Amino acid sequence: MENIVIGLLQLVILVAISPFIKTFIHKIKCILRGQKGPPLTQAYKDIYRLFKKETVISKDASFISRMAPYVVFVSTLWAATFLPVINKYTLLNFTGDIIALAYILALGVFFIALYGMDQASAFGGLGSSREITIAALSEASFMLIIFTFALQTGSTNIGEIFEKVHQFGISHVPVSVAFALISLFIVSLAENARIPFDNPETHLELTMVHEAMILEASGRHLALFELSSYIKLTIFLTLVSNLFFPVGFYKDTSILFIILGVVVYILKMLLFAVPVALIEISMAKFRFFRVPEILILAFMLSLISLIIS
Amino acid sequence: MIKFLVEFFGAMSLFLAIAQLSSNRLNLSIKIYQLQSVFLSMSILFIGIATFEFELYISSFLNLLIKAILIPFFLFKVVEKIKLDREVSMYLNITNSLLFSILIVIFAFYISNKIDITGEVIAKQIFPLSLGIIFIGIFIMISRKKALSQIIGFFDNGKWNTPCRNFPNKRYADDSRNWSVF
Repeated sequence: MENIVIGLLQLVILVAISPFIKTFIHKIKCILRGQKGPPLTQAYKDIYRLFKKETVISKDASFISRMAPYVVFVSTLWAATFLPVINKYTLLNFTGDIIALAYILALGVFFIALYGMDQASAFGGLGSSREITIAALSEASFMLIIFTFALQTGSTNIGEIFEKVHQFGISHVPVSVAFALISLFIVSLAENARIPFDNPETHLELTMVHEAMILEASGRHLALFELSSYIKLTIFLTLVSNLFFPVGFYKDTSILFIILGVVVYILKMLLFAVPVALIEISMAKFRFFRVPEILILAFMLSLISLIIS
Repeated sequence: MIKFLVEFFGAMSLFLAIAQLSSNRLNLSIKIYQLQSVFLSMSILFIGIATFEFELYISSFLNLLIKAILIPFFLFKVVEKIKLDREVSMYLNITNSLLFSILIVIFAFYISNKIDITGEVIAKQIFPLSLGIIFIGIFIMISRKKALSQIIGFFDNGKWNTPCRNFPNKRYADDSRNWSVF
């Protein structure tokens, strides 16, 4: 019962907050650049507008183009049902763990790459090839970080990991935590196509990765892709914030603590969204051939963190 | 909490030493070096807070003044003078040297396991961390071609540990503390 009620609540909160986080990052960037920036509800308006528009599909498109937006969206939501956002009771707590979360997200990446190639546009294929390269390289470090925390807490169940990290704190393994934090941060930037790897704001042909794959999408399909990319960013930020800033109420199920947990969660998300914006404002996008170097740095840091954990 | 902060800042300076390997611009290298020195002096400052030793505050302040302000200032001046910003030529490319630095860090942790640290220890992991920074500094020295980036590697590593190792105070008999004041 707790699993169902609190799990659904967490899913709703995660999905509801995700466009806000995206706009918040954009707004910080705009303010730092001296611009006014969009209102904080802009992403909700975009999604709403896109849902109202009609979908145009190329006549050469196969069933994958019709299916992929839904598969991507559902797989992202599915991964989110494993994630303890404010409480350790989640919807699918009993069926899988943090490794399942990683690979269900990878299913979404796979289908979005197929979608990029399906309509045979030149940009789509290029974007898919780059996305798969980045995803394959960053997955190794993500798994090693997961194993680091599994070793420290003695479990791969994500709710248990969060609860134990919350209970014991991270202060008894500071070196390992420092490396894992940096590595997970690099991996999150890579998986969500943020700036050192890809620029989410432009449609410059030569450099885009994520945008290139969904170039053909329109209307409802584009809305689903955009929404799932927002949710994915929120999932990663939630992971980072719950692992490295373990403040919250993971065990209590009374209504007061849940409301407090939501407030703490939103504050934590805003706190962890700031460094993403700061990195994007202070760095240029790397050449694509430098991307493996950064991801090898992330892999190395996660390996060190695993060894000394 | 003190232990957490000391080791966290130590780990951050090891991370920056590794990030030094992946930087291919001289200006960026000097900035990374500057930030690393700031973290180092924070780490020393927190050891000072933990042990109530006034000398460590002085050491931290000197570290901040010399390594984070003066040396980068002169290095920036030299870079401006000889107009050498972009290139950092190396014998090994970035990917290979990053892979090699995994071995270096593992080696540092391995040999520090062999050394038995006796006495009261505040932050045990500081010892392998500083060994790792020293080794990576040496590696930067031998893998870079130009003198300026070799100098960064030279300052990068623990040349500062030598005066502090023979600290006359009895309370510094503990190895891990001595090494942390490099």
